[in-house]
Amino acid sequence: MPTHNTKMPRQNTLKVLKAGGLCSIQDLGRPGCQHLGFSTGGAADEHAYLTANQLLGNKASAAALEITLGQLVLRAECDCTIAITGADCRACINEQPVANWQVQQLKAGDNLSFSLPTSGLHSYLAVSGGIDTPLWLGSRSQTLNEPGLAAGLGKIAVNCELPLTDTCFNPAPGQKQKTQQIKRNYASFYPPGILTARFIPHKLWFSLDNNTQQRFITTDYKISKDSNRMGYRLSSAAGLTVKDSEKDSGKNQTEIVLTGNLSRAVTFGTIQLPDFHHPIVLMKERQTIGGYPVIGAVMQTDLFRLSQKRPGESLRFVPVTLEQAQQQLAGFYRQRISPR
Amino acid sequence: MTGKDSELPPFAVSLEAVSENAVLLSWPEKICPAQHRHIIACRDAIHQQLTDLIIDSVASYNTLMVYYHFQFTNIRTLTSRLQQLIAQTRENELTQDEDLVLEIPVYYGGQAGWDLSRVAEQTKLSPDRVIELHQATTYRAYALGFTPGFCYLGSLPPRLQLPRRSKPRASVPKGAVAIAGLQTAVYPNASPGGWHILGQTPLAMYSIVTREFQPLLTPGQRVRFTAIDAKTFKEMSGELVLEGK
Repeated sequence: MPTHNTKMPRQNTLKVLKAGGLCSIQDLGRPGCQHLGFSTGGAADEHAYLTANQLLGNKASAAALEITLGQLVLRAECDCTIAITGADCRACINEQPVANWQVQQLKAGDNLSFSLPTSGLHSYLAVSGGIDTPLWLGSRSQTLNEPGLAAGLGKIAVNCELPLTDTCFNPAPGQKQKTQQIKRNYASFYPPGILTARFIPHKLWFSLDNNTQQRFITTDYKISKDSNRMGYRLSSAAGLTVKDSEKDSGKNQTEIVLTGNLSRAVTFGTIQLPDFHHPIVLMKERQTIGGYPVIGAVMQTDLFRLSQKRPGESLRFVPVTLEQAQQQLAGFYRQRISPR
Repeated sequence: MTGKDSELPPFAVSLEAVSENAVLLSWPEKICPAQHRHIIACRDAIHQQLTDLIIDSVASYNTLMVYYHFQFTNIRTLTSRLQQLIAQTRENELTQDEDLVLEIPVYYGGQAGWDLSRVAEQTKLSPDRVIELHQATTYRAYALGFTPGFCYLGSLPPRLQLPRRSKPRASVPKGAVAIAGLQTAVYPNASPGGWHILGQTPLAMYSIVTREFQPLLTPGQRVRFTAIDAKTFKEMSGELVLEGK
């Protein structure tokens, strides 16, 4: 049965049998390379990514598979221990449904399939010990926008073999199987309905008049189709329409403040305003420098939630203080990165 | 900042916490070599003296973004340490790097300069004059970013300044030497872009040596463009990309 004996390839792998959606290897990214022009990259939803590694007792930075919109079939070429988290892709082992947010064992020859998720975008498949592709810039994260620069595996497509460590099978993974109650707690990170994206306001925000600020935070912004790991483009028909009378009277605040800036570095969560109708929230694979006016930055724990939102879904902005955002993020990492 | 610079720090810098782990330091909004030397000097001092706190930093025309480990400090402490460092840091003397002007060979016009004739029309200059003016300046690298190896060079002679193309191209070729506004740059890889292409260079904007990424240009470096002909371009292993191909 094992096909790998004939050609003597690496034994511990997951082989891609079908790849319909987007799929990439991700870890916590490469935070020290932005001065060279490299995006930080990394898992879009760190809640699901870190939880998967935690369930397996992996290092927080162990590389996992980020599966966007499912439609992936893999075959285990060896026994291995896995955890599936994030968007519910109705994963099946040999066509038997298995639960999300749990540890599973695969035997050599088992098929693992992911369908279109019922909600959310990204599912994570972590393996004991992590996916073992070569490091590039201190990370195994793959990016869509750096042609010719990626090291290691190319685009994940049919017949691709994902290398695993020799510790990929762990009969006693770090944590025991979770109860349904705990599983619900993991999923409760993503509240249903419209997302409230809390943002740290910047100077530009404070220069706006009260009326403009109110309109910005009472508007529902819709996620547009061309949103991806680089950025979420939003649109709103109703938001901040500048009335002709305001234009005529010369009191057009939005035009006054949205003049060009010299290009400067942009962060994870930066809210760019090409205009008030079409804000762009920058995500993990953003460019490192941008020239649009910036009104603030969405706090990172909400960006992990936002990354699971699909085109057509909506979000609302609300300001938050830096201290609140930092507390949330520190607490987030405390819970998900077990001291080792 | 008002008054003469003898008593006050020579550069006014404002600090703003822009994200959980990033502080943006802003100098007055202008393109100025002396101010930029101060930015680079501050960047180096911050990395040397706050090593354990700093993750990364990105310098640009009038800003320095500092990414830090927010769990190891608080914003008040960090801000005061940064302010102290900035106040102590003087503008760098001309460094060796700066003394050395890097020459970038460009095959201007012909099939390489996709937009040369349009630029000439819009600036009311002859194509030769455009090429001449582009070579006449020694540029300074103000920022590295947007994509790996892309370096923003300034300042373009005023007579060559044009707004970006109204419709960006889906693909600008690797090695394209282009202008927009006050800036000029070389595209390190084929990528979308809205700048006006004057020519193409056979020079690589980065190399990867033993899995290490090495950009040709870094902020603070000085650059001049020199015209080469199609034959030299080819001899230097240039790969000409034609429009629409």
